[in-house]
Amino acid sequence: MATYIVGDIQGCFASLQSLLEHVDFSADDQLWCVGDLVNRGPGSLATLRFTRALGARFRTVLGNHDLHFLAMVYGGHPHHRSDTMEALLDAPDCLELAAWLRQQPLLIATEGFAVVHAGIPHIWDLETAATLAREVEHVIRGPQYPAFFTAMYGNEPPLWDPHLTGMDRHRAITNYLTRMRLVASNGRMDFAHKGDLADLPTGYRPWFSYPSQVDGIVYFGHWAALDGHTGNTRLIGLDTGCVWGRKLTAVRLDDGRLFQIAALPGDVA
Amino acid sequence: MKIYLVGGAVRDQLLGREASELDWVVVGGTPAQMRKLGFRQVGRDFPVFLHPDTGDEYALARTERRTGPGHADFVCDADPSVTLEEDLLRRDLTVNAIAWDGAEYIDPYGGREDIAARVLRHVSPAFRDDPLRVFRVARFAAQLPAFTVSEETLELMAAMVPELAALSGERVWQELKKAVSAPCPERFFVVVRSLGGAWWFDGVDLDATAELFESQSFDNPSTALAALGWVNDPTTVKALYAKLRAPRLIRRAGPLLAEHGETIAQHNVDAETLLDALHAIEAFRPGDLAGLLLDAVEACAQRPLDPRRQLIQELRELRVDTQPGPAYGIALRAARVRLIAERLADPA
Repeated sequence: MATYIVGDIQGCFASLQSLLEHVDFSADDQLWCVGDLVNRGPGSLATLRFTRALGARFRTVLGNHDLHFLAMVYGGHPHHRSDTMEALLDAPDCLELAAWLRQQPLLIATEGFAVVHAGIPHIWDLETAATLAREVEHVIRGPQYPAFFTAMYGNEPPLWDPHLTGMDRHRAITNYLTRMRLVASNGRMDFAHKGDLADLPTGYRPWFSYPSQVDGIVYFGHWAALDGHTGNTRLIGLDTGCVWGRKLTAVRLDDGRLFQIAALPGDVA
Repeated sequence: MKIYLVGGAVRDQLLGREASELDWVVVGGTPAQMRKLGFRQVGRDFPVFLHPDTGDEYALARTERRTGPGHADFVCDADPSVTLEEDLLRRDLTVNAIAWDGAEYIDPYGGREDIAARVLRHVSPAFRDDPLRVFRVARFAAQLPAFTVSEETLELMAAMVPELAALSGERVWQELKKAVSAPCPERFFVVVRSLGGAWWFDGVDLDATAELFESQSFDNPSTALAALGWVNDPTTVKALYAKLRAPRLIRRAGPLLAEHGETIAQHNVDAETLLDALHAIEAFRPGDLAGLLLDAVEACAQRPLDPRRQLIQELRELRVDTQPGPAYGIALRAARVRLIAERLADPA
């Protein structure tokens, strides 16, 4: 009964299957994901169908691409040229898959570790992050979800303020948990930078380079350019750029062992 | 029409915990409006609807007035004029009587203050209207280990204890099931006992039960519920499960655990005795009974039973070279006793 947390799958369904074979994934094992199940790769539909069918054996947090899919379904946002979700959007079970996905959390916080897509900014302790995540999760699952998905996009406000209200508050929380890479020491996010660590804008550093208020291990994805390196053994990046032709990575929660397979050529964007 | 998140989900949101279910209250709505929006009506006694996508419960705001001693003796008013504050007033604890509209908290009874102080406190004297709340609060104490029950609420609960006699077993079962899956199940039994409610459990030793849950942890509620048999005698647990209308599997498992649990866990056991115990728990028949009992014994005795499971597997596969008939049974039993004796002497 092992639990594997896999990095960003992004529709790389064949690579996911290959990884599961590699770890000898069995009927009483659990699969968790750091988010971004869909988009860029060719198998978004198969990935959602497969993970949903695992039932209670699967858990995920939502990533920015998962939210993008939901914003297309519920918020009327267009499919961009770089998106690869036509088959998913045309599928007869698209709405069912979307309804299932919008009930998934933004943060899993449990004794000893947390799972989140982008990260937990150093300005929040775990209880604050969990409380704020629950607010947005409950908006996404509740009656106001169409308004949320309509107004979800945007970089404003880039700086957390506990007095934020309404959509600004929800957007800020969502951006911290699903899009954040670089932050200033006061917590302000930068969205212009594309992730190359050799070229950082003045005043900004990776979120994980600040002293964290979270005691346990944080498993996250989102930042393929890191290739998993954070310089901190408690902050574990699992996005190793499968959809860009590199690797798909999973960690076994029980003993912390990493498993990797090379991306299958058919999955590469 | 306005919709609010209410109850345990708001409490858990403020605590940062993932809520298992979200409950919503609809103020100023009618059943017809809800059906038109695609909701499916499920409540018979009062209007509750299921969301077509998420399955979450949406209930029209309502007031309740007690008219008699039974669970169903309530007059319910779900008129669109019922206010949010009125709906929150009928709830049990202040920490469960907060509403959230997606932006603001509506907290007329001081629930957020009690969450900050980690206190479970009743909302109003109407708490007395349903004796099940004694068990509910005991269950919340088990689920929220950092919280203590306020003195006033404990007094009110103690005064309600004689009314527990009116409760149906099924309703108590639901609370017990949640309590044993909670982080601190022992608190359920400690609270009930401290209020003088032990009599409801007809001779079950609540101290020993609390101690068991304090020292051992169970990964699933069925194992935990069967485990009552580890610290109580077979007749008492059997009677309790019948009173609770427990599922058949657990009703059978509890008394068997009481009777054979120790034999199965023991190192120094006679081969024939062990074989009889394995027969009694149906280790050689298909079904979930033996597996559940082995899990329960493993958790209660805090001893890995892999060698026992392996032995059972070997015993199941054991065949003897004898013609079918009575002689086969005798030969098989002899062979099984030999195999058990061998494994007990030399645990490979």
